[in-house]
Amino acid sequence: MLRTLFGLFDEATARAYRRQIWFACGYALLEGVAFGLTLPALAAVLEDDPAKWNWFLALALVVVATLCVRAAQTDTALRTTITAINVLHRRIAGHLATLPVDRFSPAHSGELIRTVWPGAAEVTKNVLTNLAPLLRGVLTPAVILVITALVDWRPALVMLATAPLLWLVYRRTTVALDRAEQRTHRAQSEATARIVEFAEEQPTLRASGRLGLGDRLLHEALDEREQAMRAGIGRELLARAGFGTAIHLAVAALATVVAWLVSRGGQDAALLVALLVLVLRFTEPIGTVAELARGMRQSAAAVRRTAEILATQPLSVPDEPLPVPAPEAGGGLSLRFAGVRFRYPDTESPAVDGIELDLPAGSATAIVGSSGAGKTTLLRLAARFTDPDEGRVSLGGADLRELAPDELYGSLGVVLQDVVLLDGTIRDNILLGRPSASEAELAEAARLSGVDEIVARLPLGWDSPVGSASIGLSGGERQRVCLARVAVQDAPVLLLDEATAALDPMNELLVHRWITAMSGRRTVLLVAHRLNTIRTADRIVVLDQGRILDQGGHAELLERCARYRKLWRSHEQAGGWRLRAPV
Amino acid sequence: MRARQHRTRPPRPDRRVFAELTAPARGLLRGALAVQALASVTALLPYVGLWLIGRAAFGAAPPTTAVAGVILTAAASVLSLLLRLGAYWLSHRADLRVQRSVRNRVATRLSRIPLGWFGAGAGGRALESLQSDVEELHAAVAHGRMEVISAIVAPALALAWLLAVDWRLALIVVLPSIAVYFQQRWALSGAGERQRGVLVALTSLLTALGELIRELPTLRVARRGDGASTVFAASDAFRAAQSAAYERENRRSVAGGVIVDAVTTTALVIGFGALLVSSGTLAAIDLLPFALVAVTVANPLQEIATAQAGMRGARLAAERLRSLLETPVLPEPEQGAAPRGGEVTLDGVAFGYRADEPALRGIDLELRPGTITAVVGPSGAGKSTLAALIARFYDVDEGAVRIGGVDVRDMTGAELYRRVGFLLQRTRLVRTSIRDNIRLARPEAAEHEVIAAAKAARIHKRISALPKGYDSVAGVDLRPSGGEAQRIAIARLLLADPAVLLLDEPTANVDPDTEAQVQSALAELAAGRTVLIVAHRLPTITEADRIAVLDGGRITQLGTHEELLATAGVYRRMWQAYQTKEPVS
Repeated sequence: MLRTLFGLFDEATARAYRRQIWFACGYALLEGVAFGLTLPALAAVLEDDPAKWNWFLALALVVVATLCVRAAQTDTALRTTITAINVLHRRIAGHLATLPVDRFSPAHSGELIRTVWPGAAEVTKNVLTNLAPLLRGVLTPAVILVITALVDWRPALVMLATAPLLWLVYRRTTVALDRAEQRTHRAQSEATARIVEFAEEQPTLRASGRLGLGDRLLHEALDEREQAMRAGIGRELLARAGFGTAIHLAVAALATVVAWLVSRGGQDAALLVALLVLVLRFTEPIGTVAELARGMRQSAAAVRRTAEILATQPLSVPDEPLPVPAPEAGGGLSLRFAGVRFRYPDTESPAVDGIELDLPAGSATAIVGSSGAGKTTLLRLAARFTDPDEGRVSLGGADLRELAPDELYGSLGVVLQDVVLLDGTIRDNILLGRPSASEAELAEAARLSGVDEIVARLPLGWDSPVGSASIGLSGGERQRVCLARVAVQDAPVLLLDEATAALDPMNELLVHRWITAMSGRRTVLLVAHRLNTIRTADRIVVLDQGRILDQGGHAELLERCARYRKLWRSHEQAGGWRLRAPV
Repeated sequence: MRARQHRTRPPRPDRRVFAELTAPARGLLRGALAVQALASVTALLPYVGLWLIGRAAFGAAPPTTAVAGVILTAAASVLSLLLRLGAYWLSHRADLRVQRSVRNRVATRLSRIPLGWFGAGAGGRALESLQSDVEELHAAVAHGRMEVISAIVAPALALAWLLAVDWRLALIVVLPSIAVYFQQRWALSGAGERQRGVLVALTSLLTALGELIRELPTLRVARRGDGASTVFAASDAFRAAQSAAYERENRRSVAGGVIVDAVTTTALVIGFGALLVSSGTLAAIDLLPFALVAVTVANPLQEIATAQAGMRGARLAAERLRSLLETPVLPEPEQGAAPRGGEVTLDGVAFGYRADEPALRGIDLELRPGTITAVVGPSGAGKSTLAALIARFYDVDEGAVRIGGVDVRDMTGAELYRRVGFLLQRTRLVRTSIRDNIRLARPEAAEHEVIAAAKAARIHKRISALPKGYDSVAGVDLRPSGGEAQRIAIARLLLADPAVLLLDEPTANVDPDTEAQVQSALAELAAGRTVLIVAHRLPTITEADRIAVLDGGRITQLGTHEELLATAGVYRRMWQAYQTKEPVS
């Protein structure tokens, strides 16, 4: 487990952890020696033997050494764990950011959040806070046992005999506790996911009534969590009873041995009395072992889960990334799909298959097709949200997988189906596209994207807060901010998904103007769900069940492609549809 | 300046808040404390047993005393163990009961506060309350006072014993620990306040992480390689908060800790014991009680200080929970008035998200049963807000919204949501079976009713084609497209059968070839109800019974499509914009 743990850290943190473990061992050994020394020292005091001062001096020296090690260890342990938590958080978050985008489902998010907290603390802090006393629980009694053996082999033998007994009890109770712990963890993760869902889906849940299934889902998850915890408490009680009984048996057995030695007489009385005291110092540290070992196992489980998350395959980053090729003379970069096939995990048939598509620099291509045809998947592959299972996607002749991700995203202006603004001001969000953009460039992008009107309307203007906290922007307005961000970015390739959904006619007109202004000097790939935007494209690609059915101009396709004719008809019908109250 | 700030005492958390939250388990907690106290008393008896054996060994008592000592040691340790386990069981039962009651109260509150509260980072805040804070109560309920009790009872009795044997040595054992107790209180003073800083940093870390998980695609394209940078920054801040909160505190408490360490106490007893024994003022055998229990006397005061710090943290959590539990809810009458019919009236309605920015002003509108009213207007005109007010997502600032003649504020939530159903631009399904998603509002609905609703919503075929059919879990077995999610939501509404229906551009995120299906499903749903539709695409509403044009938060035009086209105004301009961009066929 420690090896896995060190694998999660960087070199410096792993080194600090190793040092901590040596510290803890040293502390436990010294403490054992200190307690062991009380045996001759106490015996000498009880007999008023003049050697007592020598023994006391030795004891005092060892005690000072023990305390120094303890103080040093406690101090550095805290700093080590605080650093380690940070290291772990950064690794987990950095890893998440490199994973294929479709990796997460709602059910996973609770698990992920728990990995970061309290998981990271379980992995780092608890390991150290448990490890030191755990070593103490084993090493200190071992040293005491050795010292006792030097005095009298019989109580030492009884001490030795307790070890297998305790081990047996521990093993028996552990299996059941482990199972209880797994169940509790599952229940906790589920409850976390349900709590988030409960808060984020409040409008739907509330609309469905307070006694509806939505509330029930939350409460079921919380109930299961409570059941799991209750079962865990039961198991815990059994384990504590078992281990506690074993420890007390050990104390009683040792007391019996001493009493027996007393009754036989002829023994050194002072030494026997001192031995009674040592019995306590022997069993006290052991008493904590079971609980600590359990804490360690929980940490081990957390370490395992964290390692699993970090082991999920990220999008590969080349060792020696190629630079993104320079845009061609007329502007834009060519984009090419060659034999591309991609299947989503947990689905049977590929989302796109055998895609051969060449988008010359500066061209504008629209992709049409019914839902599930693979339009959005193509765009996601072009933006390298995920890699194709077969074939390759290349930009300016270079495979996307060979380019440095930062540079790649710098060359792609992407407008997604879900328009999300990040927390910050309108200005912040637009400048994300190119932080170095001048005020004039910002103003131009705002004008082109219709953000100037929004800024004029809001009292705080450019500094109006948007993102999750914004309630003042409508869907269309958020999309405009997003368009302005991409305009400022001035990338040679534009990828737009469903850019005209959820827009009123004024906005729709604006988006058309935006695309027209942006295309020509750039390569444009457009997913047209509504077919309104297709007239801005040089070429239309018809996708059906993940394959390219046909491509060409609008008139051409209307004439020869039945699928396209059907799409166009349903588009026209949708446009002309009326919400009619039946008579 | 900073040093002075540090010295000012943080406000003491109110004990009453904590007491009130833990009230449901008060009896259990008292029982647990009593049993724990008893356990602590019996925990001392084995030492007495060992002492008896020692006396026999030293010849201070007859040899048979050793047998009594063995029996006492064994019996008392078993009894003490049983009592401790009993106390553990009781206190954890109490903890679960408290957690359950607090969680239920928080969840109930969350489902009643205005939806505006949920805008920013709702998930993170709900997690903080329903998870972190509730778990923090655990420290106090299950451990805090129990630890204090056991740290007081046994050591006090042990100290009494030692004082009776030799008061000088007893003082030598106990004085350092009293000093350390005050030193620890000083070391931990303000711990609660410092912990608050850590908690704030933790909440922003979890919020940033939630955003990373949810918005990864956007972060990747907008921030490029830098998607995790907010999480990094939040984690660094969390690290700094932890350092500031714990490092100095830790150094101070270690300093005290070594003074009362078991090895220190043992060395003290032996050193001073040797002096007293050789001076002839202490019988050698009387050193034995000290050697046995001095460690017990010395250590607990530190434990008390630590336990108290934990309890203070729990009281702060209790206060946070309390402030959430006191967040104003949309007030609801005990006995709701029953509306007659499905007529909706907006009467002089004004509303603003912020006090200085009215989103809607002077709205008068009547929606009659069996008619369709469309609301159109430029982006940001307040269209969606209007619909949200009818569903009472917010309360109006002025005027009134009435359904069937009754002000929505005079209806119970259950009554209101039985009458009003809505379909938003994007439906997100709840992670449960499709069947339960459809019967969300009517869990008792029979299978044939669910299927009938799904058929009417044109989604039955799609569901039946899934390997698990209606048992498929949304988000796990099926990641529905926009159109599929909308049709499932329509089936849900058909089953719920509300008299008033609010549609907020329900086909915005639907592909055109599925749109036809969604539209026929919608037409089925709209039949005979009072319908308000918020529309962006004008052709969808040209045959609405009435069209209200919203501009700048006011209704500027009201009439049928033909009437509005005939007058100059926003509507005609919008219609013209639509006409010019219609693609050439």
